[in-house]
Amino acid sequence: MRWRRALSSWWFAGLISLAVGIALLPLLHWLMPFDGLSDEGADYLLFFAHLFFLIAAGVCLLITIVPWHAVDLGGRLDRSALTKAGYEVVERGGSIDVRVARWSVARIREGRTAFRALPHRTALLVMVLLPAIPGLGVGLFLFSLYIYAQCWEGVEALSSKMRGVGPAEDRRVEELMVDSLSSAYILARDALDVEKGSYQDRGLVLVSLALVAWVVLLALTGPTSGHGHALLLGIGTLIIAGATAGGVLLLRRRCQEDIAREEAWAERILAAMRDREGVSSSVGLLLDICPEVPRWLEVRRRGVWNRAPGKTLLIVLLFISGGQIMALYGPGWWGAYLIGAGLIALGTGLFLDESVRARKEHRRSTEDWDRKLAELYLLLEPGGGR
Amino acid sequence: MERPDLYVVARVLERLWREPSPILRTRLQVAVGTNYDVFSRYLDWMTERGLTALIEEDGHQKVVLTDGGREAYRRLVVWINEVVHGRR
Repeated sequence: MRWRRALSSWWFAGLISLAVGIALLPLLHWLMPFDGLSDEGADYLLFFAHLFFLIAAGVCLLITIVPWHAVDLGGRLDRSALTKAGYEVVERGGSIDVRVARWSVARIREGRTAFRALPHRTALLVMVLLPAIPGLGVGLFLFSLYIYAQCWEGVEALSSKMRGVGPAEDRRVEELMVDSLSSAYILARDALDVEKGSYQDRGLVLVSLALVAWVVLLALTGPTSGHGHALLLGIGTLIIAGATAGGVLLLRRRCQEDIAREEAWAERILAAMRDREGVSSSVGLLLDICPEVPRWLEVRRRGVWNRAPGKTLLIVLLFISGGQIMALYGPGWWGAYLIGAGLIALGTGLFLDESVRARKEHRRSTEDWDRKLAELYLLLEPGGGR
Repeated sequence: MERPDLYVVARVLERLWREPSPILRTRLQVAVGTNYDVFSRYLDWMTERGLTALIEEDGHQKVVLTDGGREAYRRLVVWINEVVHGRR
């Protein structure tokens, strides 16, 4: 099930939508002030809510259909085999479209090592109609998530159907080599996706924070604060923009090294897969790869954001709720400070628990790797491992 | 040799696995990509453990993979496969 993978990015899409929405609301209020919730005001709020959901749905839709996902289809897919297996297949240049579920199509790239989750044409009609109906815009968000998850499930079913399953020992050595290379490629690509995702997510958080800072600045220098604050607003905006740009550059420098390393691994493995009969040593490459496997597995598990999106969302909600309760009700009732602090403490506790667990897992995987290597040396001794 | 470099051992095994007939010692050394002294030490170590065998053919010394070597290579490949799949 790949809901987790989708939700880890969707959470950031939601955050960005919220940040854009927050920035838009006071701007609308500032440009077109209204008193209380008059009809006009209610219209603005409805417009804003609709716009928010449309932005969220649009961003989520892009996250769903744009990225390529690594998958191991063993390079043995062909149209006739798929048709015989009951799949609807369309060939498109270097890729093939396979309908893997009622609403989902997997666009599988040449080399059968990556796919894109696309909506089927019947789903497209629903996707066009949903946002057109007032109040159902949010449905697009949920529908694209459903299509995405169905596509992953379909591709996984297709992969096991086409590859066949059986104990590793029973397969021929050459097949095992190809299989190992394919699996290593998937791991390297996954690690690359995680590193790229992590870079983008951090960038989005940075931009969101900048937007929130700008909204605060706008509120402080807005029309209710009197006139003559335009200069302050301009200087503040420049400082926020400069700090954001600097932060993005620093982030880029920090993340590019990790991304380049994973990219190099993925390219090296792909080259070896294409050059199986060449002079390069597959087993040598695979032995180089083995020490990387624990790290790739760790990259997969790493990060509170990607590991447990549900828990992450809960932590953020606890922080936001705690802060809001303290800010809104604290001045009128001291108990609000206690409740708010309690919620923030709970969020902090959950965050620390997740971090400690991640560190323990990493330590365990390192110890596992040392044990595996000792086992391998034992295998090379006469009669070893039998 | 206390603990040989697995990378070199694996390359020797792989190269011999791919060869349908005995291979010249020097050709194997070039294919493995190590200097002759290091290669000789590894070959001796592998021959001692019954992974490879040396035979004389047409006045040249050639290397061949033994059944034990074939089994070791197969186990190595299975092991790698299981590690890559995270099953070990």
